Amino acid sequence: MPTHLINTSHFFGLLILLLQPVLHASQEPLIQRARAFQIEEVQNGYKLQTFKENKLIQQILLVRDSAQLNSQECKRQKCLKIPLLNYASLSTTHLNSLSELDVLSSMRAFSRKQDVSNSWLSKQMQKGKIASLGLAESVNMEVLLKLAPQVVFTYLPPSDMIHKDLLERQGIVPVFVGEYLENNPLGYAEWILFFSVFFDKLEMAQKIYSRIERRYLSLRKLASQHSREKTVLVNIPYAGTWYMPAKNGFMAGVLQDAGLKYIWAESKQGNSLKLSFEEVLLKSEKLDLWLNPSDVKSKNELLAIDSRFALLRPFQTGMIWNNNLKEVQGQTNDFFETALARPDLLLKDLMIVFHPELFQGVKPRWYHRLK
Amino acid sequence: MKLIQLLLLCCALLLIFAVNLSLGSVSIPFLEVPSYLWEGISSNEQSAFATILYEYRLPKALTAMLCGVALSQGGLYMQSLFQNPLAGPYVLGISSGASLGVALAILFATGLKEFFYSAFGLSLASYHLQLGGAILGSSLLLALILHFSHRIRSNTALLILGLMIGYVAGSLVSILAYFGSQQELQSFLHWSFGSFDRVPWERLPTIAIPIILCTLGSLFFLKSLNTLCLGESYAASLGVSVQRTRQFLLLSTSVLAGTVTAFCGPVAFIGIAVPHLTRILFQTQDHRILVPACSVLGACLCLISDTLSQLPGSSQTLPLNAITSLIGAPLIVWILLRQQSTSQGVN
Amino acid sequence: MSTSLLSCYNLSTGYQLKSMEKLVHENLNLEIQSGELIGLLGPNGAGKSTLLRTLSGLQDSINGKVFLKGDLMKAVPPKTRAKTLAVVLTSKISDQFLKVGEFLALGRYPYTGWSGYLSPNDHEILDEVIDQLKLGNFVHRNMTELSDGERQRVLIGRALAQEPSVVLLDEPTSFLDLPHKVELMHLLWELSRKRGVSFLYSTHDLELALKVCDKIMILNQKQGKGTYFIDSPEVLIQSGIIEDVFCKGGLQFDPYTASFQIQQSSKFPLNWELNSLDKLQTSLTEMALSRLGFERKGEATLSLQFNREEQSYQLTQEGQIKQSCQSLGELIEILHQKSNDFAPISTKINNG
Repeated sequence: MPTHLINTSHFFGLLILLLQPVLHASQEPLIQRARAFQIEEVQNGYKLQTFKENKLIQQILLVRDSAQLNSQECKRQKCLKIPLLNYASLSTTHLNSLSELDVLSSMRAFSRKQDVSNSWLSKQMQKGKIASLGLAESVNMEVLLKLAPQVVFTYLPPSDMIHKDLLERQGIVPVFVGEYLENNPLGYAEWILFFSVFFDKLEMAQKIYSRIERRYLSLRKLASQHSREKTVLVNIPYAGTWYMPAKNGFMAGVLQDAGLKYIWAESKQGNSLKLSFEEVLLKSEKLDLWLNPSDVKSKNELLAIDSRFALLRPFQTGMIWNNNLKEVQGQTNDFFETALARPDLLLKDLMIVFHPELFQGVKPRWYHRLK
Repeated sequence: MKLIQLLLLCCALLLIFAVNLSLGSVSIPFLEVPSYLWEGISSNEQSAFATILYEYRLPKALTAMLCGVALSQGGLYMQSLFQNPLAGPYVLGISSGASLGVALAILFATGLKEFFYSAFGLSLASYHLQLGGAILGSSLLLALILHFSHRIRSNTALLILGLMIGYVAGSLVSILAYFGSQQELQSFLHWSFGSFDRVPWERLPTIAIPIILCTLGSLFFLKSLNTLCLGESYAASLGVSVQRTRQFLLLSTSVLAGTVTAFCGPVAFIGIAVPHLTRILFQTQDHRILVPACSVLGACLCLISDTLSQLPGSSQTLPLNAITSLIGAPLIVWILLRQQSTSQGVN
Repeated sequence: MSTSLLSCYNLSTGYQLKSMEKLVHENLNLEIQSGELIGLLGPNGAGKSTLLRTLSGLQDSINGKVFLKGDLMKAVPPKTRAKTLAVVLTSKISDQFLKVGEFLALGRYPYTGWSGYLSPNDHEILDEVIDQLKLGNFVHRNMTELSDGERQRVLIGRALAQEPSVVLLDEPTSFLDLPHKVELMHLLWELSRKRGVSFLYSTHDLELALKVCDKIMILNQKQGKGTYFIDSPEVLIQSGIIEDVFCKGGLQFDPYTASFQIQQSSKFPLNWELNSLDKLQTSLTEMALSRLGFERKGEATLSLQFNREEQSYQLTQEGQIKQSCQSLGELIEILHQKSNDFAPISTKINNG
């Protein structure tokens, strides 16, 4: 028997078998849950793409070597040298990722000081060390041109910016951040990877993310074992209309993962529900829980807004929970800054609310029951 | 002599222009402004200050002046045509039409972008759509007004018609706003605040050309404008072609007001206040003086409003419309009181 | 016909009301020659303004033709028409910052170029107009500072600046007091005579018109149909048309004096004999008698005469002298008393 033949083919077979994960890994997309962006590893860098409603909004080539900036590739498409030395951000939803990646110190400018919960950033803006640019629609061009950060993270598609060409000529690249388009809670959290590639910290981000993912999934599993089927009402009316999170949206997703039934899960409306008070009243009998009633701190405050709230069942049973515990305690509410980027923490909070018996003695981070 | 006054006004304009360039969120030393400006014009590699001055402040100042010229002329034409001191460039409902166009463009942005891409291969940005919407909206209203102006001889009736059409357009905008998302609403609101910094260099010709053409066109109607104060009967008896003058004034005002609104959003009060102010300053009704004087004064006021809205020294800015209203309304009150006290009454 | 400045044939005037034609007058014929002053009269609503607007080309006629110096009015280009025909109207003028001089200069519009620049000739014409109408003192004043009379003169001045052959005026004297009315009419009369400009003006002042106009045109509406008459004042008086059209409700027209009298309902008979008085005194005394309601009747018991030797008026009844007085004023008081005696004012009216 020719043993060398058997040995070679076995060897190759084994090799292929062993290499499978590696082969698969290089074919599998880096970004699994988020739908609004994609990262692809390329030679000495990354290709970053952002999408809105399934259309490509922006594609950037991130390169480590500055010599590559003069290449043919970079004549055809936008190139940036990483890691970034400085940047600006126009939304508080970016802050958590940037903070966890430990790159806040490179920030040159932010949107508005009053929106910020992060105390370090707030102080820096107060001292004038980090400049204020205003809202993305009316960003202060003079300050931006003077500071000339390499990148401006914005929630507006760059093609909609009137002065995009001017900025790019000055070496300022507007980068579209569309994390608010994510419906999947974990997809939202995955955006830390998006920011990480700009600072060449992909591995660090992947570690952080997998930790979040693990915790979220285990919490979800726990919730599914103790499913309570409680129906939930969210928000309060604004100018006569009750805006509810969409059934496919982030909040609905987290609620569902927490083992709750979102009362309008069967509705046909897509992105954002608009309901009248009457429609809500109709379903009042089925409501077990009321979450996130704006920024009220007590039941009385709620009554002051509209006395008819007393008709709703959760009001009568006292099952109203709001996410502004920090405000009640005299601090700024960092719910929007943190909760969305850390769905695991949010899920835990919600589960403490609904399954207190599972978390003996643990207090929620953001939620408190209204008295 | 009136010409000397006009010259002085032009000097004031230059001064205000220089101040407007020198002030902004970023402090640039006054004496160094010319050198930075020159650097911005001449060289490719620019310092931040040069870029700010040349690429941002200069087009903004030019836009402000153009808008001042356009709006004050429009207001003058409408006040002369309708012999009504409360008339202004938006009295024909132009800004409402533009608002409607913009609201539609914002609300149906995605659908429109898809359409243009699949039909013409054009990938349009949101501001292209908004610009197109504004121009289309004001043009539509212009067409309506011109059509009715043939059938309606009475100027008062035409004035009311314009106002009513404006209200209808405005209410349609409200309905659209109600169905929009939070972001769309914010977009529209931002547009409606008005601003002169929305016109970078490459788009300056598009706003300048219609305004310059209308201004040049007015030269042929200065004489007939002067006779309009006598009323249409007298004007006709002097051999003036009243219909032709009326059509030019309506068309010109619509183009002027529509262009400004499309690019910069609705800008309040300048069109109403400036003609009154000019008449009082120059003590004349002669349009051969009023048209240039209004234009220069309008440019001055717009530059001043822009400077104030930039809140020099701070990174915060105020909406342009708020500033023009805060300047314009007290001005008109002052004009009214002054007229009453000289016991001539308002015509 | 070919020498007339402004004329119309078979003209029907009127206006459109909700796609219906409202006819005001039809089959009007008129010829205005050079240097004529023509008054246009008629009760309110008779169609005077409509006619003026139609004749000046500001309004379309329903039917018929208007000719300007022999050419069809519709075919005449507006500028050419403006050099021949000018109007003075009552419409509102925005004149807050307008100086008199500037206003007058607007009349040169048909002659100036696109910029409205006034040539030396234009200035000459304007200076002439200012002289003629004695406007020299207010050329630099604001239009709003003028009195009514001054303003009317300025309006006419602007029309004259057009160097017209015909001027149509719509109620130019309506808001003027008597001296100014007369002054204005005198002005028009002089201008028509000295410069050969024709004026057609509408007015309510018949008496004044009868005295100055070369022709009077009367428009009337009878049972929904428009009628008109045009002739020299004397012929119109003679024909009795004046009474037909204007004498309503106690108004009487005296053809001798070409003036209106108010008819007295009650007439007290009186026999008067005033031969010894001069013409003026006789006329005034008779005017007073008429106003106080006395009618001349030969068989009246009361009679009045003037005694030349005593230079006094004497009232006699059945031959007896009842009262006498020296002056006309005293006589009027006595006669007033007498008329009260005849028809005492009832107490009911006093208290009511």
